[in-house]
Amino acid sequence: MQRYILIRLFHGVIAFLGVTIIIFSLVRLSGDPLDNLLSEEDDEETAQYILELWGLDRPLAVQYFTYMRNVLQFEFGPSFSFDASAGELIARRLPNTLLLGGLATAISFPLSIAIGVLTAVKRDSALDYGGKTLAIVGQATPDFWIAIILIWIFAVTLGWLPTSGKGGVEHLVLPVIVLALPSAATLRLMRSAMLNQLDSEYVKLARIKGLPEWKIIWKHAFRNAAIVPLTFMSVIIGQLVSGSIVVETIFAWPGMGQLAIQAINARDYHVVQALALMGSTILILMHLVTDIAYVYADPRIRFTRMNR
Amino acid sequence: MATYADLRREGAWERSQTRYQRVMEGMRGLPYLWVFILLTVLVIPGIFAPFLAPHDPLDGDLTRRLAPPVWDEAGSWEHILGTDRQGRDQLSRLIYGSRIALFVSLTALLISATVGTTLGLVSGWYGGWVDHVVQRIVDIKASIPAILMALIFVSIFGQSVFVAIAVIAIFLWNRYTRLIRAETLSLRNMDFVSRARVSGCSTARTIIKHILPNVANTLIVLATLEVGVVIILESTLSFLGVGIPRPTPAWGVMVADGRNYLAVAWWVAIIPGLGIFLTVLSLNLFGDWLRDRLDPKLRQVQR
Repeated sequence: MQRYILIRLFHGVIAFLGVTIIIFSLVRLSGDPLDNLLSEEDDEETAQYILELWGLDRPLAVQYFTYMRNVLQFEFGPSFSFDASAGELIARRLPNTLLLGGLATAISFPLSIAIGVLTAVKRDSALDYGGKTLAIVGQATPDFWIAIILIWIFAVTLGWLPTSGKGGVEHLVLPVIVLALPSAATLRLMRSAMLNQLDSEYVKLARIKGLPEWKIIWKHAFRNAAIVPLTFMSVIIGQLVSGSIVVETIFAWPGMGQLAIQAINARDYHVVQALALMGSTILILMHLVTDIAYVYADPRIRFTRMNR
Repeated sequence: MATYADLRREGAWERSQTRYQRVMEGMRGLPYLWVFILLTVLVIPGIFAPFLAPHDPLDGDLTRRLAPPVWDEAGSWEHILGTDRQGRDQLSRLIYGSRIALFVSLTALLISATVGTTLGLVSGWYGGWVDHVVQRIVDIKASIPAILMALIFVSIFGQSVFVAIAVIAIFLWNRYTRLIRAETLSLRNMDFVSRARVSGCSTARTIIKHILPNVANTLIVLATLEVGVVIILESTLSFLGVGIPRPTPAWGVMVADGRNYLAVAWWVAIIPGLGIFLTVLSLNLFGDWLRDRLDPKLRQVQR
């Protein structure tokens, strides 16, 4: 078990190093940084001074280590378009993004698990077909289009909700709904996991010995099926990261996603890099957590992976 | 459970005598409606855009800005789906948008399928440290969110169709690797492979002549199901302004352009989105059918 966690941690560190190397080299590929720093009148001497000041005359490997040291200290350099450092900007925007993402997950995850169980139990009912249709339709709908349709109906035509911005609770409704929709995929996953369990021998035995149906469903089948949405968590978080960029842009929500688009439009490299690194780190941590949680939750996997 | 009808159908392909019978048997259960929609929304307009578009997609008539579609009281047959804020014909832009969607998805798919399949074959065949290296590359790829990756690329290389294709291809190769690797692993130890080896096949020949044809069905099914993912990703990137650059009429760009005119001209933003929705929906349902026909075991793989 400890061995598995250690290996998994090691893989996480490799992924993190890989991501930093990619971002670092992409930035260096983009051209000579001096071109951005110097103006026409600067002579050789100034160029040399800046080279030494920024450590650009050192070998690439040394430059990479300097970069890593800064990254680990949460220093990404100044923003060109905002009056703050990239790190400060992110720290300022982070709570807003967490508020939307947290609300969306807190609402959609329990809800889709509950409906998933329900559609499995009431298989082939109207509810089941409704869920299936919704899943197929949802999979084919880009979330920016859903957002615009919702704005069109509820904000522009009916005037019930504000179109964008940050404010009271009414400003939260539409963004949270759009952000929560993709995780409805958990619903189908939960359903098929439940169906697998309900088909198994131990459920038949429980029925034969006369256990009440709710006990079979929630105490036996659900506990075994619940591991599936758990493994899906990292996919959901990945969708949230991408989804919040779309949602925050459309609803003018002052979070990190909106910052990303503002930064790219202003060609604000430091901020873009910092955000990419933040997003990647979140994903790596989530993969790690779900993998370890998965092994804890299922003794069978714990056993086989331990002995691999 | 196999019904009587299923049993009678079994071996229907082998029993079919004429070419006509074979074609009919191959198309059994084909979702005609979705194939029809797919052809009319994506394929035919994509290929024949210059012949079908009634107007120039880039050149607007500034006197007819935000004209309503034909079913509106103020609409006219001149602009069937209305015009956008620069007076450009929406239908023509939609038709050229199909061409962009078709071109981007086919190119991105070709690149990602080639890269992903090669890595999958190699890591499944060799195993050991090669496999480890490939798995770590997959890890790294999975750690960078697609849209953020697109942002970095655009901030460095600028915005162009080819950058968009590159970003999408980079984002989508890993599924091929995972599936093809698993299939290669199970094929590697089969009798026909070891016999090929014994009779003197080189490694490259064994992989290309004996492994690849056996994973072809998986590949085709996966590629079909991925087209929808590509189109959604491309339109999302374009919507955010980091995909297809303006003034090229990509569907995502059209939705973004219409965003601020919802109150006065809803059709500018809503109709292009409908194009994306119908295309992806029909692609997915066609892909589901293809999967059930060619490679039912992929049913387990969730999209």
